[in-house]
Amino acid sequence: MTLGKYLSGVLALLSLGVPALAQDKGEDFLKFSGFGTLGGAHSSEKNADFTSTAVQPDGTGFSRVTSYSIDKKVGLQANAHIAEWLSAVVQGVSEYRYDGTFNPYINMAFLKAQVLPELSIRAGRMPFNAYLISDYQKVGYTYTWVRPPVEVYQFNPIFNYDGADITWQKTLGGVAFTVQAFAGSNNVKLVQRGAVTDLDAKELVGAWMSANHGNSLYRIYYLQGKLTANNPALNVVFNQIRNGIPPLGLPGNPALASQLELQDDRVTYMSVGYQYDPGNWFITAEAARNGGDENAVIHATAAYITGGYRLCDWTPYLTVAQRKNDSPTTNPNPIANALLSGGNRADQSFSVGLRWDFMKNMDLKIQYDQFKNDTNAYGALSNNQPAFQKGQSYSVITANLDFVF
Amino acid sequence: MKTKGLSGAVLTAAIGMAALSAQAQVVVIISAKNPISKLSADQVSQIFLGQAKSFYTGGQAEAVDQAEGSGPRNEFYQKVTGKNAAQVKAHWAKLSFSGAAQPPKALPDNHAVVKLVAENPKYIGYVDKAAVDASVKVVLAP
Repeated sequence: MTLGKYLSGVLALLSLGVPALAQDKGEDFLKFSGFGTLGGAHSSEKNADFTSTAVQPDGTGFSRVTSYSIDKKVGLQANAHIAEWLSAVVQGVSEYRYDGTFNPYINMAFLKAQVLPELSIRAGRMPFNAYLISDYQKVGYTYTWVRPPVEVYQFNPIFNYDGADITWQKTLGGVAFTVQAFAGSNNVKLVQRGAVTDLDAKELVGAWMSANHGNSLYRIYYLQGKLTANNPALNVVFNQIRNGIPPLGLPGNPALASQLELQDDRVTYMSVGYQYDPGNWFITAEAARNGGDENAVIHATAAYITGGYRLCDWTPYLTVAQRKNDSPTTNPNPIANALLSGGNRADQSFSVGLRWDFMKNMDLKIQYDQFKNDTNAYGALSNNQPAFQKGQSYSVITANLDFVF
Repeated sequence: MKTKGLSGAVLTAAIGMAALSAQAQVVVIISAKNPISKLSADQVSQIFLGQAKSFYTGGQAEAVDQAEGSGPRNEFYQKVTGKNAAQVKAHWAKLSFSGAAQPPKALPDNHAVVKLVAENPKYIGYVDKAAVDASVKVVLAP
């Protein structure tokens, strides 16, 4: 319903631009394109699920021996060239969602005004780009892995935001700089403890800068905002901390409950990324950190480095990744302790994979990941069952087909 | 017989060399109205990969491609950006599906590129050297 409404609104908007079509020769007014991924993933850990993103309700391991859902997606995009200086983009995506469906949603819908050759302004729904590749992380064809390293990418549930940005592109001394500042808000749903979390991100403001020099790309990013989370199952936990459990002799601790709850809590994202790609080989490295007010979300620093070599249509690659906690995962209060330790996602992983560009517009990939969760940590896993043991190793094997058109 | 065989071989070699040199003759052009006389491979690469929107002089820059799979296109990208056709495709998929930018418009052949580039100093293209005329100037011969 929402999709239909959005599309009809956008089409009405686009039709306003039709008369401008004839003025700009050689430029198609409307252009359609798309992307997608099909594949299967298998995890050796049977007492928990491995998922691609935090918003997915289940994955491979406990729920399914092999999941064909966690990486599957299709996206359709329309680009409208309304005038020499004005364009519009609408992108709809269908992928495995918090509610277990593939119901499509609008991932992008914005107008872009090129006000000066080096300066553009966009308004509408834009991709959230906290990390090096997050604004195209749904397009498997654009990167080497089967999915971006989960240590950095899995925990962020925000894929887009509604707002505006301003972008400046300038080449100085042979270095191509891009600087962007943005502001907006987002509302997203994800599943935690069997219940839906309604996550409200507002007053998001941030900026990033990238520099291309020769074969190198450098990028630095900063965002801050306010997060409010509402989950019925977690509210029960917060109330228990607030009121205590008198029969068990546990006193109430309202201050601790308020501290742990996400109620307009300040949140920060920071990341630095680097790519070197002279043609036959490449490395990509990134480090990211989430911080802000101390609450039930554990602050963490995560990083990875990937290297690959291109042999005709074959690209073998290696990745090492790690996630470390920056805030306490324990608490003297037993309920708070259970809550915080449940958010301990520290792990390290080693991955080896092969991408095959077997056709123009299509690739096949196979990847093997070996994960080692830190002591007392769940790592990238969710849906933990009673028999699940923390601090163990497990492996995931994935075969994906990506396409663009 | 022997001379014929030899001349046949020479002819084959000559054709081979002609094919090689024809393949090695893609040049980067801008309008004759543009004051720039020379560009580096890095500068050209940044414009064609959507990383730079202007020439180093500050003037607006817009790249013009040739058809996907065409000889000049494959040769140009391999020599100037170090990327093959699949890498260039993946590069533009990144920029396009993140909503950041659209790939340059693609024209059918050398003459169409020369004609458009000649018209406006903002354009930059690549063509076989043989297609160059006085309306455009060569700024890089990679």
